[in-house]
Amino acid sequence: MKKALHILIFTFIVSSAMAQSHYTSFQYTVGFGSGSLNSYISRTSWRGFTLNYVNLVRPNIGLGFEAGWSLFYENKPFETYTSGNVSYSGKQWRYSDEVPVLATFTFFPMPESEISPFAGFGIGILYSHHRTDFGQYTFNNEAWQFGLRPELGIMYNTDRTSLSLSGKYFYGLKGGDLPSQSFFTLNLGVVVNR
Amino acid sequence: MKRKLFLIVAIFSVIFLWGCYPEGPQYTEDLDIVVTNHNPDYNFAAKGTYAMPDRIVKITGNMKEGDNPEFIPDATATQIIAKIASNMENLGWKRVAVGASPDVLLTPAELESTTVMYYYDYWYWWYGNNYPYWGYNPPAYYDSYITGTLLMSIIDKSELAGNGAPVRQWTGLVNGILSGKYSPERVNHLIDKAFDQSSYLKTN
Repeated sequence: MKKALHILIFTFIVSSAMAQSHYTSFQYTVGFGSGSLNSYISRTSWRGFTLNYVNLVRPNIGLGFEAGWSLFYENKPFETYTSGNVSYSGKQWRYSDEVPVLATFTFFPMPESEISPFAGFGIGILYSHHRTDFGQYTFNNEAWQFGLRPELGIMYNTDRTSLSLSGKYFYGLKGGDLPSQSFFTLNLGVVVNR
Repeated sequence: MKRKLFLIVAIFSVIFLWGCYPEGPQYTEDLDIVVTNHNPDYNFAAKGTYAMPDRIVKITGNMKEGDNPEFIPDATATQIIAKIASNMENLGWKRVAVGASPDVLLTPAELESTTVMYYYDYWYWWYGNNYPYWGYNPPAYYDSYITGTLLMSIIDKSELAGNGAPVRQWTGLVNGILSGKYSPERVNHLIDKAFDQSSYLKTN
């Protein structure tokens, strides 16, 4: 294990020195909650963005970082909820901020192609904050969860600017005040400096 | 150049998305809530009669100082008590006088609290004497709102706690912000809701 780690670090350093190029992308992100997040808020998130930085250590392999934000929101009508012997009725405004911060690995099987597909994986932190406004009261819950993120997408390359379209799935392991958080995203982005 | 354009587009997109943060409640009625709680071990179905006063006491803490209790205006109390009585009748209860040995007592009470919000410009100590030259800018302003709560409790005189105090078998609470004009429809709707979510109160 220790030897494998040394090799990994050495490879990363050498690869970085040999890096031919890098790119940055900004993506508009649409989110679809799943699991417990979908139970809390069923509406699609139309407010989101993602920033990526990828260092191409090989022409077809990129290592980098990703950070993003998606806001899920739902306005619940006047309804009754029951917990044990207590029933409470009222309108609710539910907000969920999802902030992934990940280290990423991306693979480009056809890097020189005008339309270049790619697949990637990210690992890092998924911060979630749930806020429920009920009457004059606000209930907050947050969690820092270990996050995983597979990705599939295509890139349309034109000289130094490219467009990207990708699908991602974020999964946070249970932790903090919240159960496991998971959601899908569709990302449309602009890529520069590739 | 493209990189600068990219940065500008990215920054403004983030600001735009953040600026579209959805708003919350728009009207005072949006903040109305109804909460009910009950003792699951109490057999409401085995009871049938209740007594309720004709006035609604206002909880102000003054009785602790030996003063007489305060009451909400009779016209408002009459409307609220009529709505409570209507709901109890629908659930099979019969209202009797307090001296006629009712099975339970239903005691409505009202509580008000005032929340004051204020803002003080902490730089006023610096620009205070000069503010007429920069436009009228008061150093502090405040706003306030009043929250009203209608509390309904059902107690059984034969069920007492260890300290001799009556135990609430059912509690219904209606809470909201008091706007300028009293709305009987708004209050009636909330009282109906309290009893709608308390079907276990139904008696034989």
